[in-house]
Amino acid sequence: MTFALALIVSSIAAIIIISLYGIAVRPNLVKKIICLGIFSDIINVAVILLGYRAVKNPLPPVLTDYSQKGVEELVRGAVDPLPQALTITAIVIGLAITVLMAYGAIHIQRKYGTVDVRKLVRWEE
Amino acid sequence: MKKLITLSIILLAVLAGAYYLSSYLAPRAELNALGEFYLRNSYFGEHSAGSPEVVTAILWDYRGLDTYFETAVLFMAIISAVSIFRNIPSVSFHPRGFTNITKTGVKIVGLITFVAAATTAFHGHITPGGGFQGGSMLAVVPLLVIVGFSKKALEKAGLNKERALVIRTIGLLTIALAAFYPLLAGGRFMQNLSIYPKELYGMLVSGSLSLFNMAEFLAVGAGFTIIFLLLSNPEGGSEA
Repeated sequence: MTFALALIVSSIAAIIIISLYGIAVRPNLVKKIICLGIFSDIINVAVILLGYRAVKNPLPPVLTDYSQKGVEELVRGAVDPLPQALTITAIVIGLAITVLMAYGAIHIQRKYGTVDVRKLVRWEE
Repeated sequence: MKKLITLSIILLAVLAGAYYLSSYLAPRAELNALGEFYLRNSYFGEHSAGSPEVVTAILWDYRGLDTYFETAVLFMAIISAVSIFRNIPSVSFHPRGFTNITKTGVKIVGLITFVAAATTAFHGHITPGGGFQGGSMLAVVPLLVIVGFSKKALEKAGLNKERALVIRTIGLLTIALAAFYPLLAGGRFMQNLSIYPKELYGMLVSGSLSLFNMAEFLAVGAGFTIIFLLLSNPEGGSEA
């Protein structure tokens, strides 16, 4: 275990907690959406970290030398390609969902004049 | 103050737990069997996808079904956004616009971004990149034009919501047809090699991978263009 790895894992855990706090506690809908974006991004970082390999000079999973020797070199040093493929789809889906939620927030603002959840459910009265 | 103390205690506990866990989460030197299978078979090998880019090979060949339905989710999200905004008319107003420096800068950067997006998408089966990444980069160009000039300038140049919807539908139809064609040719759903050619006129096209990448490029780029066109409606668009 290195200090850098401990730092990365701790910061991932801290950001997950902070973003969940933002989703649950902040009353502003826009801030909730931003925190959800941060949450999905940090999950992507964690998934990429799972696919990392502790070899010297890790390679990206792209074949550059089109021969059997190149394939052996790739198997020796390349990181796991599966988490990266999953992350690509997760990012695009996350973008589409974020856009949909932003639309919801815009419509709520136009109709009710506020994006504060406490005012929307009339807690103040 | 009491809340703050509780929060900091929780945060410290999480940090300590993560520090303890990180010794178990250390990256291993060896690859797991599935990852090694993909790396060995992507270009050569018995179950080849014909692509030196392993991530694209997984995305559109080995895990093609996942990506197909993921494209369907994208389709649904954009369609629901379009249907929410269906009846809201756009309001035109006449601001004075930016200086010539900004406008020329937008033109240059827009052209470069477009070329970079097309390169990322069309070389997606050889170098890192692909339809999703290229399409997201392509969608930045209309956004730049909207910010630098106006929404009206984009629509005057011929890119309005209806045309973007048509381009996106063409991309999605191409994906669907290319996914269903192997069934007609006696193969499996979304089968890649031995139905589609690995090389075309001496160029490496990796079977259907480059076709899927180009179609997804159009679909994602035009889909997010619709979103940006809708979002750039001026404030109070619903008042009309």
